[in-house]
Amino acid sequence: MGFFHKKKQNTDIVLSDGIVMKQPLQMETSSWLRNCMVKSLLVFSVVFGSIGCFLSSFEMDYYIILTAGILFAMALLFTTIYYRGWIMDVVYIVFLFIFFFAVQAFWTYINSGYYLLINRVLSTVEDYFELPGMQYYEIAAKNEVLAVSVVVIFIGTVMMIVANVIISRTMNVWFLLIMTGLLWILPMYFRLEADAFYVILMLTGYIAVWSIRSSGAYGMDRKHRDYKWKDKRGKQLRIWYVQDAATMLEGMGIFAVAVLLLYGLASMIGQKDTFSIRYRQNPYKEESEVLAQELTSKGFSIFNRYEAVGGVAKGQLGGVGSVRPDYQTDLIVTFAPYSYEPVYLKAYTGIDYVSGDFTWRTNELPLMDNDLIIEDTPYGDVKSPGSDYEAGLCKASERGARGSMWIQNTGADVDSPYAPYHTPALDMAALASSVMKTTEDEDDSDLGVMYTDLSIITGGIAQNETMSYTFYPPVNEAELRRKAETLSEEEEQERLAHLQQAEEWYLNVPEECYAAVAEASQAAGIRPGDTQEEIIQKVKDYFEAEFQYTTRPGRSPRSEDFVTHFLREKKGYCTYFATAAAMLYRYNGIPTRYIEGYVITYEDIMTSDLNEELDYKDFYQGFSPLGETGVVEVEVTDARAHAWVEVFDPYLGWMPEEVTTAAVAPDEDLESFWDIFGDDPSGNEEGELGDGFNLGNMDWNLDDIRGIWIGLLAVFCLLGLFTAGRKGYRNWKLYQSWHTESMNENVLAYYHIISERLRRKDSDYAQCPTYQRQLQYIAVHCEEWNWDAGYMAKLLERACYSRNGISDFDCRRLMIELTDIEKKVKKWKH
Amino acid sequence: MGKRIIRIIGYFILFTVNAGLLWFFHNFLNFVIMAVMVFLPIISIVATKQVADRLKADWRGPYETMKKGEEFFVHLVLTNPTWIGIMNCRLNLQVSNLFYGTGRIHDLRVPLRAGKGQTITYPVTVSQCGMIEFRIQSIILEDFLGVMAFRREVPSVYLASVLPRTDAGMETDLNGFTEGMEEVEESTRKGTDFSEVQDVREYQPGDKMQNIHWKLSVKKDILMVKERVSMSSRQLFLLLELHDNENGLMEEVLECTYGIAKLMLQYQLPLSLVWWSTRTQELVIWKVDYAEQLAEGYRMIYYEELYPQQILGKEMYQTIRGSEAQFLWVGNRNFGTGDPIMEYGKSAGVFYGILS
Repeated sequence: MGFFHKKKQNTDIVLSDGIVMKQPLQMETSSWLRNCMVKSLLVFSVVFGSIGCFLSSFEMDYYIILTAGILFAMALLFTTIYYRGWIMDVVYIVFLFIFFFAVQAFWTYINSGYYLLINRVLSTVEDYFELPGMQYYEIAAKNEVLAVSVVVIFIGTVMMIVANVIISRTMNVWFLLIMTGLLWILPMYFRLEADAFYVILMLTGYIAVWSIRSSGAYGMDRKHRDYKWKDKRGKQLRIWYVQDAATMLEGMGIFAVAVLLLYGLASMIGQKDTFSIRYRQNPYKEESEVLAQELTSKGFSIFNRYEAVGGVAKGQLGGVGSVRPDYQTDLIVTFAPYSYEPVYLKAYTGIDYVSGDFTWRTNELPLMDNDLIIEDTPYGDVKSPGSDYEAGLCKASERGARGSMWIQNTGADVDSPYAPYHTPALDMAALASSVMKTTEDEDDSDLGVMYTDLSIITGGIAQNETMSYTFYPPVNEAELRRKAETLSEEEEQERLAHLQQAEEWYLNVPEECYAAVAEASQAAGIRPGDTQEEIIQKVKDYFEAEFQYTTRPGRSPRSEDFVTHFLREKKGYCTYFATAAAMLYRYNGIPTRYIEGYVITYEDIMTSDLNEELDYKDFYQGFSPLGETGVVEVEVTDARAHAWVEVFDPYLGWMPEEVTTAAVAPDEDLESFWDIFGDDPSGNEEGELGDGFNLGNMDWNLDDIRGIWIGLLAVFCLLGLFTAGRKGYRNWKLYQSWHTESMNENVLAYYHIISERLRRKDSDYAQCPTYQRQLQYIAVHCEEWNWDAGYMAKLLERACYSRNGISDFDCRRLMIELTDIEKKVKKWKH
Repeated sequence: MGKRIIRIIGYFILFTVNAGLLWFFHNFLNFVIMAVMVFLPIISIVATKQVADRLKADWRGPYETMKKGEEFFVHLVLTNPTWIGIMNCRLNLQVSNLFYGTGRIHDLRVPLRAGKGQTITYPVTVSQCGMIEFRIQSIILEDFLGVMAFRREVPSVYLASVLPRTDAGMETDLNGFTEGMEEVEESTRKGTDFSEVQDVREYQPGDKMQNIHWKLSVKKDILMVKERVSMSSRQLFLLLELHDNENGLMEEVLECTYGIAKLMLQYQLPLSLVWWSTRTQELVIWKVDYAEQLAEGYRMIYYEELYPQQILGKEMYQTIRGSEAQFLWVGNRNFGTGDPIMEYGKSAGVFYGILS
């Protein structure tokens, strides 16, 4: 019993006419704290059981005692503060602060733990669907077990909060099943089995929730009553207890034993490890697996929500915030390796940079003698980007070589040729001619030709069809250069025409990026008079020194030019580098064009399969820096899609130049845990706010979210400071009000402060109008009242109404008594 | 019942969903859940049946009579000797006032702890006199899953007789009445038996000498003796009219009668409560010499049935008792004869019983 109880709203329960209960019904129920503990056990068993089912199914290691202990403590905290009025609000706010700080403190572990979970799921998916080549996340944390524990604690805490609300308010097992069901249903799909402990824990929790809900005794309310009653007119009076920890605990115990026994019984009937194997596969599940496999292979996954997958973009530069390859094979390239240098396969040539994209404005290009017009392409009648000049130069080289390359399109864009460098233009024309045509020279008829008519219908290589190219690799550049300098007159004319065309059409720098390019050129240290080689190298060095490679640069804003944005942000992927390099070179007078395609590195070759059935000589003839190698089949995934530039060498013609830096951004491999909430695969650009922060698209990066957090924290801090300051100011004003020179006024002010507090706490007290009534009320309800309430009231009345007031002695005496009353008032319970 | 059906449907849906998952996934976890969902209701029902068979229920309360307006505690003791705790034990309890024939059933839901049970205490305050009855209509135990219920009939009743409060104002109201008693009071204080001469007759052998009326004997020349009648043998009859009136008249009659009776007992004056019993169709005269007898008398009154007639008791008394019909009649003062010697409450009054 407290100081006195605030009168509740008509607590009289009418049992019959003239028979009432004026006091609460008394029965033996558990204390509020015990109820909270049992409820926290419920929350814990459901949430931790479900999480444990997930983790044990995927055989994830974690510190079980540490995790379980912290999660139970969290459950206890949330159930204890629930419905505790302002305490709940304060604790939630404080918890929010702590949570944010903890997220910041354990950022690496949270990310790593999350990635470990995802990696394990991906690994399972890879094994189950037999999909090799899954891309896994790199793990930064050294202690992986701890990382998993940390992320489980954080995710589990959030789930605890939600589960506590469900259990405290509705005790609804359906909501809990919806919230936690995926955790134990997902592993089922992959025929994974959870550990018995977690299954028993989870099922016990579910059954207990169902049972308590059925009993109706779950409603914790703001008043923390032991029982409730309902007496509606015309209906039977109902009285029921709210909750009893002892009975709930007994019930949970019975359920746990029952589930344990039934688990044992089930184990006797069907062995856990072989249960799913003994049964035939469900035909519908098989169908779903085919579908899931297909979707997964195409990169559709809840974990891989990226805006763009790999492959060529055909000069479409902006509007992509991040790129995520699906690591599926786009091309199978069969050829004989001849160099350590990367092999570039051209798919697209960008000529004009207009409004942030590269276009193929080839209708306006002057027709040259050795160029071919490709008709009926998706772009209209276009001039072949290929030229016989470079191929011819290589072909004419005395120490040159000739190679053949089979390119099978297994998943790449069907409108692109994917031709190796120094392929004669005739081959390129064949792509659009709809005429089956061999590409080998007349004297090389022994080369096997694998392409068919279908492969060239669309001007590219159709899906699953193969194109055979003959190319002349520039294996001896010095000789080529010497030869180019000693051309015949006719050949020199051709070279000059080629140069004239390049200088006329490949030096344009659009106005929208001109200033940024000029500034970058200066920053790169390019001086007038620098040679072409120096300029090329300075740009490369500049990129290497100050730019970072990332596949998640964030979407470039519409309001800003693509190149300008990149030169300012200094991060991006190959498309960014190639575009900016093209503009920089052009700005400095070097004809340059933007190229997209695929690149085959030496590492790719080394990890590829050797096709021993094919003869090396059929694929390569002539000088090879690697010597006689073999025929390899390289599976080129979309991760090898690339962008680079071609710069025009006055003698050698168009030569590929790699300008993408190798400097990877520090957080490139560590994707943010929170990015899963921020990515929007739709690519919708509506709602753009500018400067990269796109609320409508949820196109946030880590820095943005951190900024929001800091902003939120600042707001909370300011609110906290404001609240504390306001309270402090009010207390100071109150203190001042009863510390004046007049003792009479001090006594009265002090009494009014106490009285006001009581008035707020007790509505009955608020009804007492006079000092007499107020003090009598306090005297009646005060447990230890030692003073004469009537005399005190008279003194106060005199102090208030009498002209002379009361003596200082009486004032001091009253103050002592009021101080004691104030202490009791502070302990006054609702 | 409706909720139970909803639960059964919900359980069936869960069972079906799990069966579907088992068919689809062939997972051991689903198999375990299936086993649990099949056997758990059986376990639950059997366990609850055990509790229902062995559950004991009893009322406990104070044995002494209660006072109107005072709070007293009635305990319902449920004993669960099994090791199975029940979360939902539903009791249909009836609380009635047998005298007024009013009552109400309420639904009480309590937990039953294993090996212990539950004690529920009703802190009851009664604002009407009468015989208060607490009765267990039935006990319904729901199983853990809430899909089946077991009903038990437990013949346990608690009765409490509620007497009127002794009104402090009654003494002042009874001034007129007590004035007529002053002589009685005086004689009581002297320790002598107050008596009066009822008749004078001729002497008969055995008469006391002190009863000889000497003056008259001299005048008539024959011994005459005074026949004295003791006042203690001429008790006060308080006739209650057990008239069923919705305006609280019966309550005022009971209180008024009780007040007078208490006052008389305070002065050690015997009295008799008189009422007409429609149950036995006879005039009941209950002699009251001390407080316990008064309480017992009221207890008997509380078992009577109220009748609609305003003065049935008075008429029956006069019919049966005839010339001896000297009494105080307590009833509706609008139906009394002459001026009331006392008015009580809104409509009760006390009248000298006079032959009409």
